[in-house]
Amino acid sequence: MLDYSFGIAIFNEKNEWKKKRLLVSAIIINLGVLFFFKYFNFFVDSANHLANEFGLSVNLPILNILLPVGISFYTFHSLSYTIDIYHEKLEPTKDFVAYASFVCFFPQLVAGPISRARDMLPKLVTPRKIDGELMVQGVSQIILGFFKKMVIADSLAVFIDRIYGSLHVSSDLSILFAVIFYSFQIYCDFSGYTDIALGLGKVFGITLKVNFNRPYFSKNFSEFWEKWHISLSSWLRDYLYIPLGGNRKGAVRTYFNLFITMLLGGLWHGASWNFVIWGGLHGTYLIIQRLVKIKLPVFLAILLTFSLTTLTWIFFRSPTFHDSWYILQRIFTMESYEILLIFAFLKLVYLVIALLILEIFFYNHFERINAKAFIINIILIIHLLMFCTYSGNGFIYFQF
Amino acid sequence: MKFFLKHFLLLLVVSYLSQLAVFMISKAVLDRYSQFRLTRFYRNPKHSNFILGNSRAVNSVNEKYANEKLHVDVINLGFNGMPYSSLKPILDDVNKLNRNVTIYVEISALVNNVFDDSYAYYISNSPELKKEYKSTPFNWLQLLRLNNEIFLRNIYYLRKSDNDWINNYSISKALIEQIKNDKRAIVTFPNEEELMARIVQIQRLCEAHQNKVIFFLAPYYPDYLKQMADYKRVTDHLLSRKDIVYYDLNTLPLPPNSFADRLHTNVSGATALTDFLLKTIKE
Repeated sequence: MLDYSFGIAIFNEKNEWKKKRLLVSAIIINLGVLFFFKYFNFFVDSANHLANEFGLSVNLPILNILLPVGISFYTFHSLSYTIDIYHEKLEPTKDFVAYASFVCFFPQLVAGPISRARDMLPKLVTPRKIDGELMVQGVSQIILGFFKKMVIADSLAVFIDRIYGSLHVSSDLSILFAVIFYSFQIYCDFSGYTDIALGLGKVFGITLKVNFNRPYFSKNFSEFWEKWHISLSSWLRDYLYIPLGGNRKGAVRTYFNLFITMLLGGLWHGASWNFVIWGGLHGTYLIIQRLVKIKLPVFLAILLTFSLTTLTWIFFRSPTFHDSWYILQRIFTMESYEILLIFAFLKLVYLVIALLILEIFFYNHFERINAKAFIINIILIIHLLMFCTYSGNGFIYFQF
Repeated sequence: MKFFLKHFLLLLVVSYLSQLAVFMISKAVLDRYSQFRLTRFYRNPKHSNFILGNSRAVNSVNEKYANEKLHVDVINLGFNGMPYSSLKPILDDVNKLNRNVTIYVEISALVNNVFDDSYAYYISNSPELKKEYKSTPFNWLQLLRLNNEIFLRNIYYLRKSDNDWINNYSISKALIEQIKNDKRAIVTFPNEEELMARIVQIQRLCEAHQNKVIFFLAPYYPDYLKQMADYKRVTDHLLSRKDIVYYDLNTLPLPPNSFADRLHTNVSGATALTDFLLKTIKE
């Protein structure tokens, strides 16, 4: 309601300074609410730790509050609405129900994709017709999403959780596989959710923004961020990186802007230094990529980008920095090689290979309505019945 | 809408028929060729000795050693985490298909009341298991029956038998230290009455089929056994009963390196236990 009102007020205000003041107020209130719920305890805890390090006896109180579901996503939804009105890219809607539907559209409410008001609102204010073909495509995409989430991500989670939960008794090779598998788990978990959300949107006659485009086939990190969580990276680019100056203010400032954008992108994921390190590493990769211009063969470039991305996921997955550091030490020493439950492990290898085949040869099969797409759906349903995990694992990105 | 409904219905029908076909082909191939213990049993149910229980039973009797070295016909039907609800139908199958045989039951499996859907894999082999899964989706969505570890093990054991499936490593020093420093009291048999009732029920079932049943408790790592609050009471009660045959294998002098962890013996321990169960007590 706040952003809806701010949108109308900004649009009606003719005085440029007052307009800016309204925008800044909207941003402060939005980010203030986000900060309060998501980051307050984190900063208080960090301040307490820092003070103790310097020998000061400080014990600032931590709040016992619940984090509202999907707060990071709908804050960004509504912020984009207000900012776009300020930049005169969008007129405020008078239809509050349409605005509320844009912010709270249930498939994308809890884990995105982060839609822009200028893309979504026109679809909500105009009457929609039942589109049978779009619905069929939607169902195909939902099946793909369930396959990625319940078959691949949740099966991998069983192995990964076991290893991350018993690092000290797991072999180095098991830890390495857990690290590699996590890259696939988080991809299938998040892109699986997105496929279900996009598929549901299509069933309702609304085409949402594509959020993933085979990110692990990227040849460098700029490309990776054009293909991974596209709605967040483009949001950060448009509303943070470009307003900071983008690449228009010299090389050093560009590197700074890149680093800050990625750092804050990391912090957006959660109140933890591990997420900050994850974002910082990606920022560093982007800077190094701009500084060192080596042309590698395509396969090697993909492998290098994937390997370095996988290293950053260690910080994303580990509960503490200490654990991340321990894992890095173990996978770079490689002294023990046993793999327990070999048949369960081979199942995971098979599923990862199945995913790669799907991504390489049958990418976006759901966009077509033909015999090939139909057969792929049948194969995916068979895999769902044979391999899906009923562990009731939530989606990783629900916590953000 | 008509276009969508037509497509959706077709997808459902073809999916159902496809899953049925995949199930039937996979099951037929695995039933014929897999060397996994339960599949071997349902392919050839006639044996002289049967072992039933959870992973502690798996790691107590070395089937390959018994068959090849002791020349005793035995099949170890133990499986990790086997609950009573699955053990009972398998025991019923053993009883129905055999006469004058000896059935060894490891009693720690008799207190596990968790429902394990893995055994749905054998619905088509066992009418007793089919009853257990009555009114579950496993009855009408056949491919779900393959969604478990038993299916994966059946594939894994296509080319070799699992008759030597026993831990082949020894308990680590770190774990020994951990057990020594852990002073918590452990309750292994939370419902003694239920345990006794099940033992009596098994005894009667086996007797009704003229089969002999021997109950046993596989050994725990000695320092772990000291923490078990209810062990002595339960085992003394079972030893005092004249109507059942019960052996507490914790009384056997096993060296510490015969254990793989706190609950399981390893190959060396299993060999000693196999000698005792299938040779010494029979003699």
